[in-house]
Amino acid sequence: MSENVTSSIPLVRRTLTGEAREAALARAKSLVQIEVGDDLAYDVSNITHGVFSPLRGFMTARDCSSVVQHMRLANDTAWTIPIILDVSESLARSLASGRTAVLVHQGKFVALLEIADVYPFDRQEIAAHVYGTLDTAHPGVARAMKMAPYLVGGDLMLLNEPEDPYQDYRLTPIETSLLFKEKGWRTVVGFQTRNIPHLGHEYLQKTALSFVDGIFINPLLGEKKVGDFKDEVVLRSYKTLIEHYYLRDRIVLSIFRTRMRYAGPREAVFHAIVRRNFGCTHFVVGRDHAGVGGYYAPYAAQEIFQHFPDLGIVPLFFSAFFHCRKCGGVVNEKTCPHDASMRVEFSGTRLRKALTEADGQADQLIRPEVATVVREWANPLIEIEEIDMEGAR
Amino acid sequence: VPTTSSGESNDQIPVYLPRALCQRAQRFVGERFASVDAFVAHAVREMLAREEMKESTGLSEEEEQRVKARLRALGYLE
Repeated sequence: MSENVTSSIPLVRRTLTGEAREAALARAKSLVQIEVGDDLAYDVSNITHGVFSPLRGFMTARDCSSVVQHMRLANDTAWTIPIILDVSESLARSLASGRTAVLVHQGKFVALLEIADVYPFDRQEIAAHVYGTLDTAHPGVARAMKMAPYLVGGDLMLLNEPEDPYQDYRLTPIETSLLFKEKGWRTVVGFQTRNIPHLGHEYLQKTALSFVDGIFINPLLGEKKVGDFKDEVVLRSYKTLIEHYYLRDRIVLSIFRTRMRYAGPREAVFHAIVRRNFGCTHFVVGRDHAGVGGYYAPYAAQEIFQHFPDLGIVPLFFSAFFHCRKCGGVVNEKTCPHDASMRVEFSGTRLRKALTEADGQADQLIRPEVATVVREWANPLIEIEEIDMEGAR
Repeated sequence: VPTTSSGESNDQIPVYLPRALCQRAQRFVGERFASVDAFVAHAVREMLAREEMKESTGLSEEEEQRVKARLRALGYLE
């Protein structure tokens, strides 16, 4: 893979600086205000910095409908997850197409929204198509069902970066692309994760890295379900792993600030598009990528890519991996001939056991330095529902 | 309940192709491509992606220096 098989696409950049920004801030004082929570504020940042290129704003009815039903924007560009702004009925009444509103996050103007349309939507249609189920035990469905009844579509223009405790770990696509170039990387594999790194992840990352110039570890930090690891735990454990087990000039760690959708196959494609925008040429898709419970077939997140020849990034498909006591290391279904009794699976349950019990076989699952970091927390897992539905009301 | 389908939009227009080309494409209609139309749409999308990716946005010298300064400040660049 010495050839750079893809290159950067035109990135959306919708940020204001200098006098134009000052004028927009002054104008914002007289506009209808839409308050947004953290999740929507980070999506505003993602849109305006090109993380979600080619999106220029929240989806209009036409794009949203096309994405939900066909997994493409109305102009046929591949896009699988609705990026939408929901508002209450009373707020929707004060908005109209052709007008401009200002988005407010934690009392600060974050962006101008040029309203293209305000429209009602069918929560069940989104749940059924995007998540493939109407079961409210699915965290994505549960969230969709709680959304406010109207959506507002339109282009955004960033005024201020939303407040973020992890700002120093966030890079824009312009920054990552330049960074990769400065490092001399022509091929870069992106790695999505919402978990702490175990030996299976490390095996997968290093296997992928052996075929390209560098690896972009891009943990998703944002709203997640109960039982997932807390953001701080994920970030600190990755920093520790990289410090002890990776070559510094072959790796970049930066976060992807958004919420997990748990949309399985569709989210795998969405994750790939985002990493393409960051400048990656390849993207790792493992077993049950972005899945939850048993809602998606184990390799559905890989099979879906056959419908998208136009992503501009090469997916790298990996089989399930596990520790084999007979092989004495991490292997996968394609490389290990031994039966299941020899396997130590990298399940969340086993990982938690390994971290909390003395004989939990931690050495077969996780690096000791990473285990030490995780054990600093009395509870490293999310214990209460993080869903922030107090945003655009 | 519909699943994560990949159905094409109904908003379609006819495109004329040489008959012989269509007949060649017909051989690949089956499990992966539901029709010649789907096969052709797939091929056109693949080609468009290559062309569109050539239109990258460049940075001005001033912008590049500003980006590099932040990358250095955050420890990403020496």
